[in-house]
Amino acid sequence: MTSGLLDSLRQAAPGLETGECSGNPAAGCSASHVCPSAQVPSAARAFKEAGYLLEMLTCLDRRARGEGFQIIYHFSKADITDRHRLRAGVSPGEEPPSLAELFESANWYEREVYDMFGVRFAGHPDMTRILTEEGADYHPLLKDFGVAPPGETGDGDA
Amino acid sequence: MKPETKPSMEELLREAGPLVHLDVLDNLLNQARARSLWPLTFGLACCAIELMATGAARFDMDRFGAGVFRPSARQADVMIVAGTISRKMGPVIQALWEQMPPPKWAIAFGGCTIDGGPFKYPNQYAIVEGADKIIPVDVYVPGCPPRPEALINGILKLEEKIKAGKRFQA
Amino acid sequence: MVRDFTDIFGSTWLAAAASVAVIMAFLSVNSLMLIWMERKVSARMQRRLGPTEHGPFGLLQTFCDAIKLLGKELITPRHASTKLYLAAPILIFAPIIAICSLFPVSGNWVFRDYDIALVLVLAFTSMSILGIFAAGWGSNNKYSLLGAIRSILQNIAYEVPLLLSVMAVVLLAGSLNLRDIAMQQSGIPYVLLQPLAALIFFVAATAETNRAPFDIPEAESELIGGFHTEYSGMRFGMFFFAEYSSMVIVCGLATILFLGGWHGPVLPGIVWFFIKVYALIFVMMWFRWTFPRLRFDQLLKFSWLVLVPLAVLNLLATALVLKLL
Repeated sequence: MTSGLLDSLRQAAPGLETGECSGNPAAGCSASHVCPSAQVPSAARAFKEAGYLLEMLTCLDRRARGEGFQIIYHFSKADITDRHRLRAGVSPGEEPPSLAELFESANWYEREVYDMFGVRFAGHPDMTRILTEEGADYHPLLKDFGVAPPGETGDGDA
Repeated sequence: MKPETKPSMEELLREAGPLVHLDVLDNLLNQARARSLWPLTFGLACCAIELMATGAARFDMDRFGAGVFRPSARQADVMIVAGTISRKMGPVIQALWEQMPPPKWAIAFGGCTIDGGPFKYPNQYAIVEGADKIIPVDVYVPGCPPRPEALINGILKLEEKIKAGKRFQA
Repeated sequence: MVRDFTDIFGSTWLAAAASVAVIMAFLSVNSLMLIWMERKVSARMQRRLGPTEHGPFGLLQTFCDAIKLLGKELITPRHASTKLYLAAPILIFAPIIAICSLFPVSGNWVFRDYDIALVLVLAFTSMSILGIFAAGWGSNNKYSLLGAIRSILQNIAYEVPLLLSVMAVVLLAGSLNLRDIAMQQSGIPYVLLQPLAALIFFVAATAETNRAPFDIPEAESELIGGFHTEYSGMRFGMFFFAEYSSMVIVCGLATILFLGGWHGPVLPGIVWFFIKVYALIFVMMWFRWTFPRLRFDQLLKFSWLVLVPLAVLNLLATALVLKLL
């Protein structure tokens, strides 16, 4: 089953590099694939046709390493134990395409990524903040947000 | 030795006390208010579970008259702020507090409502560090989460405070 | 020999004033006791204790609640329709006093003896709905309005089976006078002759008073407070008061129509009347903590698709049997 899925993925997203199944084989295939962010919607459509659901969508701040942001999409299915991840690199300022029309759950996950990292998603129906307070102008989970360095304690009157 | 002066009329009146004792009515009202505190159903996080446990069978807040949870702020007397206050929730709490008709009181239940609790660190972005940054609090109940007996203790302390005639006005 | 207040007091106006005074006194004490009873009964059904601290068995708890409510600030929402908002508690409460004056509490005593007492009772019961709508509309609050709309739909839906089941009793008794209906049950109470009508009546009566499991209009998890969301202090107390008074009324009606009113072996009639009324109220409180709340569409379907056909069939069967006998 996994090879059929990987074939359809490669067909849908030519730039995708598939990864090996890792972990305990009895626990199913847990694989990580790297995909250019523009081809993520077609890869996601391939996952959807194979019956997978978008479980989670998150982001890593790798600007300090020169790699911009990395958006990670987790796909899984209820009846089998396989899990697949898509890693898509996004440079700062670039707007990756939104999966909100394909998967309903992507709507709020993408809003959370925007709220926490400042990454906007192109084509999202309602690109607004979801977790921070009204009128916030900061993105908290960025590495340079300004948390005190470890070892330093303070009174914390934020 | 100071010569004895005749006390003035004001001093005499002050010593005699008020001619009409309206404080009897005030005392009666305070005694009734203390015995019938209706909480607002306002649970935010984990401490809300302890609040529900206190209202449930084993600990039973209703014994003290405080078991009638009113969902509408217009009908509640005491706001038991139970749980971490996220920054997004702060204006909501303020709106609800202002909707409650006086006389009203607030109990800060749990560490997060006292000073931010375990979620406080320098330059945090998520929570309001303490309920008293938004509303005036009467009783603080520490714990993470406090036991139901601690909440009952807090309610009894609030009842003592009310019976002694101290309250926040509006 | 029927004695009513007009006989005692001579003039109708004096009789009316005296009736209102007695009824108000009774309803006040009754509501206080019922609120205590509800808290104790619901607590015991949940394996808790209920009010115990204030007064023996917590009997003074409701007094403290009432005094506290008197001392709360009365807030009027800013854009509320003030006349409707302020009139609503009175509109809900006024018909209740009128209904109470029509109940015969014992063989010889009734506040006012009318031959069409039953029709008057049912007509006044419908009037309280106006008060609910005034509360919901006048509050200028979307939750109040939704609660009021749901309450009106529910009341309209459940009035039809209520009336149909009462009609079956009227056919049996041959009279609309409440005293006559109760007198005719000195042999067999109508609950044995008309069990279906009794059941339909009790279910419809529970729905009419917005009690659980039909309490969608004031459901906390759905509508904050329903139509009484924006009322504080003693105005809210009036709604509470009206709810418990209407419970007494529907249970009183059920007692007269189905349980034989004041008939009973050893004790005087008036004592039996109140025993039966409070037993039915206990059953209503039992319902509250036994059944889950009905969803609104389930509620309406139940009334129109189940209760109304059953009540119509019951009525037809009664008429047929009476014709054949």
